[in-house]
Amino acid sequence: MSLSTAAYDIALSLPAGVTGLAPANDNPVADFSDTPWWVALIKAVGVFVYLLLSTLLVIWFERRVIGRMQQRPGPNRNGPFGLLQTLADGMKSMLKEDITPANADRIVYTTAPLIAATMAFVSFAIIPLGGTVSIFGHETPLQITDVPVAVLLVLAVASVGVYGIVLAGWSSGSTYPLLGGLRSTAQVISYEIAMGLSLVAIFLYSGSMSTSQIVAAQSSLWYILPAFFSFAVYVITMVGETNRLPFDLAEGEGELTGGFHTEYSAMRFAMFYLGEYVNMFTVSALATTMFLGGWQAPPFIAAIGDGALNGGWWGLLWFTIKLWMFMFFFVWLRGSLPRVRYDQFMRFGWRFLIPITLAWVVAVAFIRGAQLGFLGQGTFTIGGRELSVATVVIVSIVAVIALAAAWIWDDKRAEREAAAEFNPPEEIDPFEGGFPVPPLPGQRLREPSGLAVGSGAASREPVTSSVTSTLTSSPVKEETHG
Amino acid sequence: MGLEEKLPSGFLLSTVEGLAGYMRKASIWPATFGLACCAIEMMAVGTPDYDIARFGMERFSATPRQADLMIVAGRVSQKMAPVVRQVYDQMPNPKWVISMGVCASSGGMFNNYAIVQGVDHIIPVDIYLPGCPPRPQMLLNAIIELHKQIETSPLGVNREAAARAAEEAALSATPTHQMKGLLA
Amino acid sequence: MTTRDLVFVVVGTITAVSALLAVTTRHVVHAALWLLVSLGSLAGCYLVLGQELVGLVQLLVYVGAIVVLVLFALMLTRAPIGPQSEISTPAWQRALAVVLGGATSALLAALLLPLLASAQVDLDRPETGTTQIAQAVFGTWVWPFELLSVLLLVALIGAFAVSRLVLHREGEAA
Repeated sequence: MSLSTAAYDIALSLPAGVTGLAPANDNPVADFSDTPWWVALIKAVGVFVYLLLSTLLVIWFERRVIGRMQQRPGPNRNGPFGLLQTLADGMKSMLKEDITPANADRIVYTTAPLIAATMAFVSFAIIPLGGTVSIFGHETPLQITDVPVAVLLVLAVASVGVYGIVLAGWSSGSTYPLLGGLRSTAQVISYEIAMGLSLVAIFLYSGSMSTSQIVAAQSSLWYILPAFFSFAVYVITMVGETNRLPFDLAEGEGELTGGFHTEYSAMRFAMFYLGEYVNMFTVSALATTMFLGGWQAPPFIAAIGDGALNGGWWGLLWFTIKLWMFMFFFVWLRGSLPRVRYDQFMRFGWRFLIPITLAWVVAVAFIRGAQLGFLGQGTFTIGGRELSVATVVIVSIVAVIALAAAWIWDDKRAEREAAAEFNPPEEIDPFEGGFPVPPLPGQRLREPSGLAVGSGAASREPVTSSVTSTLTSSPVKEETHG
Repeated sequence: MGLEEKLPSGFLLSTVEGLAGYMRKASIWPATFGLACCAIEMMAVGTPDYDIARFGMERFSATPRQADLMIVAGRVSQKMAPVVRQVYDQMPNPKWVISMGVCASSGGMFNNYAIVQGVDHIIPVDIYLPGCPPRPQMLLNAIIELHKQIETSPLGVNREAAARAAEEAALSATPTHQMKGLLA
Repeated sequence: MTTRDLVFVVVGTITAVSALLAVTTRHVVHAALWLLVSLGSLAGCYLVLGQELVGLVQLLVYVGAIVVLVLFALMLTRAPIGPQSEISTPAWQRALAVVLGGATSALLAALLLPLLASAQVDLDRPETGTTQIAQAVFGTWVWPFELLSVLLLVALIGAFAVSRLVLHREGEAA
């Protein structure tokens, strides 16, 4: 047996207490054995309806919350509290004239919004919305399906969804959409890489890419705590993936009118609108599953009644609450932050996020290796808790390296700022460069010495000579002022 | 704009008219067409003091393809006139126009060769809003008037009948130059 | 013939037909899109055979990155819409291509089909799962894997170098 399998066997045989985070096999925890095809169909339709209703609500929610953040009411005239606003938007889009520009590539023009909208829904197939429930007598987990590589499905589908944007931009046959589509595509594929890398740390912690397995592995500790850095990177990339402020450069109205959806009207535009919000839900659902324990109740509630509120249909409630926390975060960002510039955005993605996420993945690999006993098995006890020596050593090394890197970076920044600081001289000669320059605040003007009272000699000659010498000595061309 | 136009006259058409009218009035997306000083008042309508978002209209769309309402806010110069026409043409039906301010309605104070004397020389206008510039409350009043028009606008065969009736009335009305006034 | 066999045949046919359309269409961007369909349905073939990892990685890499790159190259240069007659090949070239392609396919079929006709895979008890793939890639075949990564890195750096050289020369000429 090679080294890797031997170590893997050791890892599986370690008690969970030593590692703190249970190593798991990669097969899904969710058991679909009692799920006939019609139950799966019911679940699929249910998820679809759930997403549509959530989208209706979130559009209203966003406009109201942004309104309140800007100290104004937001939509409140159409229906009670403005709740019919989204419905009116959707129905109006359906009743509008559907225009296809003459220069457009018709087939692709029609299919692009369909791709964008459909791919957003597909990603929800593997998100666990709750624990095991009983639907019409059949015990089935509250998710449509699960495979050992489920999260890879989400990433793959997200990369296919990019085509909706780039094809929409190209097939419209005009410049603004083409440029907007290309920009948006470059943005999405750049941040996809960072997103995938940030999730690698989660796979290392849970030992699996199956969503139900990841949720089960978080029963003792939500991954937002050990993988806090991955969470931060994931949140940034999720905003970049969905083209939301501050990263909505593809829709910058001053620059690109509508971006990739400039030429789209009526129902096709509504598809893009829908696709954007469902995409937001998908990335938030993935964040909830990966970092916030999915459908599991928060620790203090899970302890009530020995887990009575932590299973089955209750999972849907906790999941929805966490999902809407992320949606509120999206809306909050939109209401507060201005748009980033394109080159700043790309530089941030490629030159900062990807290298630092790679470094983080290496660090997590070492930490997990230590926890799983690959780097030695010694333990020591502090205050009743048993800790592994290797883990503590690796974590401290990572912490020291991170602190050192932060120190060096801060030093370099201070150095650059100091070098760029401009200390103006205290006294200037305003006519030195030929043109009169006004003094900066705090500066003194050097008076031409020939005109100072009492400085000239008594006789006329020395005065004139000193005056002329002053005049010729200064590089000022008095003729130019004549 | 397809199926609802082809319904036969009767209860079904009037129900659809009511529904479509309500939906269209509840969600009007203006096109950003601020040309001059009236544009400032249009921006002011979007501020928290007057808040056009209450009507669901805060989504100004820069692209005419997704706009329903063109608020011509400001004077239209001769050079800008073909652009106004092109943007109007690019908007999908159903579309409405508010000419905001006296310059858009009739040339305003600029009674000269450089300014189009009223944007209705170029595009059909639904609501004329005088003012130089009209206060935000006046713009909101114009929008509410437009909402009333949209809510009660007929569709399909009813619309054709209404158009013919309006044409009849215009043809049989007294021409302006024959109106004598109260003293005749 | 089970449902799975039927689905496999359908997905395989889509792969072949879209690949054929990719080389025969006159719209440049449509060629890239048919390639997209072909590679996507190849991923579908993998999924039908139960290999989710390979299928999803195929989607992620080929569909999600490589064809996007091809599309980028097309759209940053000309983004043509509509049939492009100036790049269509003359009829004799197309006939020659059909003959050559057909001959190559016939040769491959004649070689491979008798060789593998008796091979059987029981898809209900898969012998190659993710663990085995990982052991193969990082255990048995780790050297070719690393060399391939180095090759990709060299290609990337080479592209940078070539573009800088071109820019440098343009800068000098200007």
